[in-house]
Amino acid sequence: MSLPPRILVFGSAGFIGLNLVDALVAAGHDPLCAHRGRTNTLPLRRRGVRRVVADCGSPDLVHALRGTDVVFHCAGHYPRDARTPELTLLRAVDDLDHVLTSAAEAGVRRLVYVSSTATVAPRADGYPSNERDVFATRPHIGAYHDAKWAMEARAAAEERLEVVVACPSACLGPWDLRVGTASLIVATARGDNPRHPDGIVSLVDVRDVAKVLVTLGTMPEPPPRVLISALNTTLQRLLGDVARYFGVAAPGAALSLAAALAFADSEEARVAGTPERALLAREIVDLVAHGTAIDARLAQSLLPGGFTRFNATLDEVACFYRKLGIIPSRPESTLGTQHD
Amino acid sequence: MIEPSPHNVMTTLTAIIRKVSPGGHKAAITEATRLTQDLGLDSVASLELLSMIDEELGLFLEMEDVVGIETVGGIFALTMRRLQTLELSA
Repeated sequence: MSLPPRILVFGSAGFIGLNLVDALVAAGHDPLCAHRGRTNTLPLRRRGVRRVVADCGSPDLVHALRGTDVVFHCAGHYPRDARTPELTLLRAVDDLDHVLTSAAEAGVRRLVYVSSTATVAPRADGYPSNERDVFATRPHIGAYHDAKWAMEARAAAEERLEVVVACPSACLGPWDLRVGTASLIVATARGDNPRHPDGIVSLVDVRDVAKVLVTLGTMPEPPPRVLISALNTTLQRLLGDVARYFGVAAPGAALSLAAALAFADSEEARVAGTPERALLAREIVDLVAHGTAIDARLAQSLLPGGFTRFNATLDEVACFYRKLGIIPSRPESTLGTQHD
Repeated sequence: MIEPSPHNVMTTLTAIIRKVSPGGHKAAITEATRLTQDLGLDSVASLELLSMIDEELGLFLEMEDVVGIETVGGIFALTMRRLQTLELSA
């Protein structure tokens, strides 16, 4: 019988990372949880898992990786600052290149790189996109798409170790402490009626993403690229369903793309250099405006029991954010439209 | 664990806050100091700060304890409560 793989998780204190750690532990693994020196480690410490401080950019990263068989990289540079796209792209690729080079030098066998469906190109035939659909060249959509595309291209070109690329769509679920992807959903649930664009959005329960990642990290011959998504809808319809679920007023009409871009850019400029968050992030507008339906049958085949029902995910999201006081507690109204 | 006197706790909190706040926050830190407006900490940085305080002082906080705290006074009150609870259960 072969020994279980020695596993290290980069970004283990983050949203996907924490759920991945839970899934690994549930599957009987003992992951080493890597995180930056300065981060919120409360959730990791409460889990009692093994931890190591290892910044993906640190010069001695190879030291932290020695003795590791499988690396899960959930700490790819998040291209938040859309105002400097070229710098963002360079930094994103440099960071990933450093991780890949360090992993190769340390003798890591497999690296599962968590990318994004932002790299998925729409199909000319109008069908949902699958694993073969990727932008052939830099999409020039915005800093987020361009950096994600460049990072994924770098990961796919790696030849010194086995690299598996996982592309989750917008993740929902517990431990999104930054309230990033869920920001419009949380704002809607709070009755804030957030300004938003409209377009195709794809969603998935982060716990399902974590289970697929575990499989990709441990199965004998993993596919090189997997799209992980449970639901294709439009943002307007989604926010309407969320409003019904939480018993708040229906969302207002969506902004035009031009108005949404102008609002997001003005918000980015307004909060630059301050601790404030943009009311509408530029990457959210880009993701919605350029969203494409996802065919995730491959991921579904790797997920025993299939994807979690959307309302079950909303139940978990509501429970988590209410526990933290981010969504006010109130009696739930009737459930929203079933998507599954 | 530090002696949970108000003076000791405030001194420890102040030292940690100066470590994590942008520019080290040279101005005086009081219970009225606001994490966002005065220290320049966003919600993520505020959680990082509370995590560091938890680790340094061994408070064994849960996430729901720390979300929503907006001032140094809020951290101070939470820290005092936790230290006193831990002292009683020791």
